Amino acid sequence: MNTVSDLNETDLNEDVLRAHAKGDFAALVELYAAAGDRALRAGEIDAGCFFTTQAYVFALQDGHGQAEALRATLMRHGREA
Amino acid sequence: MNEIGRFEVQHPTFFLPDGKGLPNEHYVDPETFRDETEAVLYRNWSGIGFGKDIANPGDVKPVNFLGMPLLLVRDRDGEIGVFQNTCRHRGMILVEEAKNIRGAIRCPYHSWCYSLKGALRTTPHVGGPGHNIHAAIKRDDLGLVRIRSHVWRDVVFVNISGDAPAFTDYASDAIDRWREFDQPMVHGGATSSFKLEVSGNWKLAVENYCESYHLPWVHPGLNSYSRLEDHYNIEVPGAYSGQGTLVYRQFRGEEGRCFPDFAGLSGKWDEAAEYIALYPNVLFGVHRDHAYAIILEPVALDRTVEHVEIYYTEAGATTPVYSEMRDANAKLWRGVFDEDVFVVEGMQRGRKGRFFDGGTFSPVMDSPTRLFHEWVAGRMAAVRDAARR
Repeated sequence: MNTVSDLNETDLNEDVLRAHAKGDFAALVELYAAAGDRALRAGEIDAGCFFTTQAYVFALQDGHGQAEALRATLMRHGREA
Repeated sequence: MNEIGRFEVQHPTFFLPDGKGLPNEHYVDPETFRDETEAVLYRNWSGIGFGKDIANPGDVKPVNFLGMPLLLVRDRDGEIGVFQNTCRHRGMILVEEAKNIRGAIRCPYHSWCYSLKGALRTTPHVGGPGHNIHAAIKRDDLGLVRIRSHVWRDVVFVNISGDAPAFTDYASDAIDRWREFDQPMVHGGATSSFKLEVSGNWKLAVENYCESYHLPWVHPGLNSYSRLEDHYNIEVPGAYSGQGTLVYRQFRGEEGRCFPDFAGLSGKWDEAAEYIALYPNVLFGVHRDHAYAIILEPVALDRTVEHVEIYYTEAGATTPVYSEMRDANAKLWRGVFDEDVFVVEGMQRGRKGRFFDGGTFSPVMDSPTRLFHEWVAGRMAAVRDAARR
């Protein structure tokens, strides 16, 4: 995992675990999407696409409004069909 | 159909010695049960659920059909589909309990996601972390396995083998017979839904249901207004059999109120009602003011769950003035079906007697049951013959 992601990893982990425990999929979409966005802006493509994928999956499941935008981000990086 | 008040044998038997029933093995032998599951239940149109259980777009409900994991789905267009409830990746069960899916069906194992129409939407990290695609993973070929299904009278039928005649061909006679009832019907609500667990082979419930011969003894409450001679046999070889009554007496609530009638019915139905077993495992009843369906769920060789659902016109189902009547009507039917439990369970235990020879049918009173036996025997023979070729 790259530097920017490491700096935020502890907070992200705790927030994600809290959201999972509550079954709060909307929160998971937001948390992972934000982490993915930060990593991509920092040029960490693999990490960014990993987090964006996590967000995309939960957005798909939940019928979340961000699903198509997340998919489009992944497609831009050649990671999704 | 037999003439009113008369019960006559009309149909010869080919697979069972004349007048004899299915041998004991069909009720007590695990190997025969397994062969029957394939030949009778999987290769024909079997009832596995009700549309009312997936009433809203996005509703999904898992069903275990004798070990086959199935998933009932109502998609965003309101259409009902049935899929194998198994992820195409590693065979994980996708859905464990009935729920509403707001977006896609997500496998809890590796999060492969499927649309409500069964299309594979995403395969996260399949090509490595953050890589959701790979040349070897062709999503178009990896959608959920759709099981052939059809909905009639709110019952979801499936043909697991995929090669039975179209449902509308198979059940054409029944569909035509009850064409007047092909109109909106609404489930009566929570109290119009109940289950009976029976320690007996599912076929015994069919056999008992489709004959009126037992009515005077097992349902004495009917004797006062629906005598045996007021009933007639219904027999359509290869499809269904049952009984009709000429003296249906409407349920009356306070001040003599009746449920509203279904629209446009002919005069026949003023005082008639009909009850058929659509082979193999669904029992139906129609009356001028309500209808029901019973799915016989074969849980094991000697255990069956009877799922009973009662339907009315929209007014009859939703108007508060009929609420207590709906409760009372359901209680009445529950009482009638409860009365049948001891004979189904008794016949199951009786078949443990190794010297029972399949029984001897009354040529007059047992013909609907005999027709069902003949159909089962014919289905088994057809599969055995195909296997030998």
